[in-house]
Amino acid sequence: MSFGCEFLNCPELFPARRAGEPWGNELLTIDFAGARYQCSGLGHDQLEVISDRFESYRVKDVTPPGQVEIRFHHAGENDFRRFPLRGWDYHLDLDYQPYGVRVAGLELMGLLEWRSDLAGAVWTSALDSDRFCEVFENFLRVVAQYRLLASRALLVHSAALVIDDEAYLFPGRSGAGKSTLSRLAVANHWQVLSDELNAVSLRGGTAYVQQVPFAGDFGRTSRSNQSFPLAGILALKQAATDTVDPLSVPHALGVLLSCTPFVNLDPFRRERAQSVLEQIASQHVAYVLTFSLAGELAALDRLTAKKRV
Amino acid sequence: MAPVLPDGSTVEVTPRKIYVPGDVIAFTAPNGSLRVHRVLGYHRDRSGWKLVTKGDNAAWIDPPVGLNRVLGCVHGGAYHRVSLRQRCSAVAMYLRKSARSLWRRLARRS
Repeated sequence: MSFGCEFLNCPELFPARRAGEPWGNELLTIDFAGARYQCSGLGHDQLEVISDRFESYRVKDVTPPGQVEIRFHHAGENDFRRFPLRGWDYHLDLDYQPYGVRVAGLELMGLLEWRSDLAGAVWTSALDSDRFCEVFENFLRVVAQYRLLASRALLVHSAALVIDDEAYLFPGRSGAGKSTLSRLAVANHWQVLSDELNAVSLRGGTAYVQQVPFAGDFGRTSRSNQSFPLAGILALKQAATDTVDPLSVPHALGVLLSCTPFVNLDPFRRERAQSVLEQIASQHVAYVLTFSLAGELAALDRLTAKKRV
Repeated sequence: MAPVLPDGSTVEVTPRKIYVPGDVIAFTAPNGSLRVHRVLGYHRDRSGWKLVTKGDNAAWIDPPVGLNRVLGCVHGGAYHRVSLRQRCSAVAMYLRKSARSLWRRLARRS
């Protein structure tokens, strides 16, 4: 299937450049994981709902260098295909190009370009605040992934726990057990950074984990802008027993790469992402954590206790 | 609503005409998935009245939920009765959100 066919009525009319009619004149700047995103062209209702959603990440609208600009434009309802959503798994259609990435999704056309700096544009027909919020958040995930990659950081589908001021990363795709693990961790009084996406950055040869505004139902700390040094990578496996077994570097790299959305399929930027992940995987111990639904993460508890000793 | 209601829990849902702060409701998200979150209050935009909701452990408030997407109020199953404390906490959270919203509007006007 060619790009955009699933979501767009006329994919061949996908905007070629970042221009169009804005929804309004409102502006919002958000800041997380060391990067700023200035979102313009928002309508009043859209600004309200996005402000509520990203309240703790909002910053004053100033324009420092390196800020990513995202402009929102109006699109006609007929530009997008309608289909029943029951049982449909949310996903985006991405078209990777040397100059940027084209994104098609539910009521979403997005363009991410590297002209001088990274800049994005969105065209949507989503008028309802909830539908617009979904469009906004899904495009921001793509933008954030590429912005972070430019500074040797990546968003990883993972749960992250903080134990003794160190972060443990549990990469896993949907259904791997990230939320189950987070639920067990909360019961154990461990801090959960997120059970969905976390930013992992390399600074001075050390990897740090940071919360991003794409946490799932866990991640109660409203804004934890603090970075925690990465203590270990644990691939998840659900079974009847609680064990921790070592994982080789190539396997750890494979797990991390499969859990690094968007860039892991980008032929033009995958190499850079892989080099960041290689460094992370080779410098940190990796394990396979086997845990049961009824368990108490006893194996993980033993591992962290051993580290403390 | 984890950890009160872990993913995959079975719950009973009853539609109601009015939902009050503290109620736990089931609704369909814009992407078609089912969610169970707590009602904080109401929000009005150009497409009408909507519910303001939030997961108990979520760090932020959900985008407003259109009443046409609400399946009903959750009760029974793994879920217990809503306590007065939970209702007061929902109202307090809604008032904080409204105050922030008012502050933003005033800041924009000035």
